Amino acid sequence: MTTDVSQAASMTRKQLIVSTVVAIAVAALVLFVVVLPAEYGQDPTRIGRLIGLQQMGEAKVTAEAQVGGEIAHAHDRKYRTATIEINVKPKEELEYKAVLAKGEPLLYAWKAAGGSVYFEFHGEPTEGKWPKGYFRSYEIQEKSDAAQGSFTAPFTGQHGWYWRNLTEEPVTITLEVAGYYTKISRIGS
Amino acid sequence: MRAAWVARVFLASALCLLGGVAFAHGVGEADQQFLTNSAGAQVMPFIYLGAKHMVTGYDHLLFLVGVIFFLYRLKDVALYVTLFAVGHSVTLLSGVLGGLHVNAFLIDAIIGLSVAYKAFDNLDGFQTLFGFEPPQKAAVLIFGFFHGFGLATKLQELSLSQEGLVTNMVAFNVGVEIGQFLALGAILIVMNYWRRTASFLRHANVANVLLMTAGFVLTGYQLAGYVME
Repeated sequence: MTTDVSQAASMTRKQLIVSTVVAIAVAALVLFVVVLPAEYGQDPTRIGRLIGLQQMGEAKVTAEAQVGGEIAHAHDRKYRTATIEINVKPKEELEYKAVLAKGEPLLYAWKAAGGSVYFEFHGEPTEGKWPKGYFRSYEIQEKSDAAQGSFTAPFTGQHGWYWRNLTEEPVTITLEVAGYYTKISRIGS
Repeated sequence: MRAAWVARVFLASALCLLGGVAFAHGVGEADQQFLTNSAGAQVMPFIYLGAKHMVTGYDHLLFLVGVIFFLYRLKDVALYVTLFAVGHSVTLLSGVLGGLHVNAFLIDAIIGLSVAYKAFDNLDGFQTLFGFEPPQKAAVLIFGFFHGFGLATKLQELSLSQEGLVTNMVAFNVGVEIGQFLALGAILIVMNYWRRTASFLRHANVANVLLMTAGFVLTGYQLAGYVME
């Protein structure tokens, strides 16, 4: 910074070397004693455990390695299963939805016999404050004849499928569900 | 006497760093959730995210502190900050558009080094130790390129949809510049106040040693992340 007049007095060569070495040493100390235990659960100096930082880092690392949320939780609601046959006329579109409270799971599997369908698995909230007309799309397939999976409701509401028969023939969809829904039914007509 | 001085630097840097090191610096989960659920052009949200990233990004801010530390004239501040902005915009835009995926840990490690480099330069370290000083403007521009790659990796973490990509990316970049402008304003106010005190020149060297230490800690933090990845 030779162009600036009002600059700090230059360090001597020796001061500069000492300062740089001190900076590196402090950085290494902070890194090994504080950052590694707290961020990554690594505790090469064993001091991290003493000051309680290593536990924090370990918790962070294990949390990242696992899926979020609860692993198991008890349900007060009644366990329900159902197998539903749905007849979809040529070019017809219809919706089937299950009422699920936030966090409640649903296992599902459906098959379309006689042709392919377009579907969108989605849900809309029934309680709480939401933007008008809000819905959330979980999965869309342009052309499909089966889908299965597990689902956890992101909010309390109706969650289910919009199907559209893409063919000129009637299609029969067999839907199997199991879980803690309170009701499953066709929406609309 | 010398020992006391070393001890003071040591203590001060340790205290300073304990306070500031333990934040993760990425995109917040809720912000990410929003962006994953929304497709298409989102101008204001991306401007906001760019600005937020810059204002809360201590690595970029420490580098800026280093760059303007001895810049007294507003003209010089403007020149250097423009060089930095040009540098990081070039790599932010080309990195995202070209689909270039650089390792975020390595880039952030280099950003940490840029802080240490600038602090060492402020101490006149290159002149004193090696008898020559690399051109400052070029250094700021080149480190700007690396900061831009870092910004690109953060933007790519948002799993951008192709739809509205260019608009969103430019909005993010605009936000980065707004955030930088705001942060710079705050830094300049504090620096100007500090410069007026009689102790500024006495403390300037210590401050830059601290800055260098912080840069090394950031570098080590990111390198460790890279090794453990």
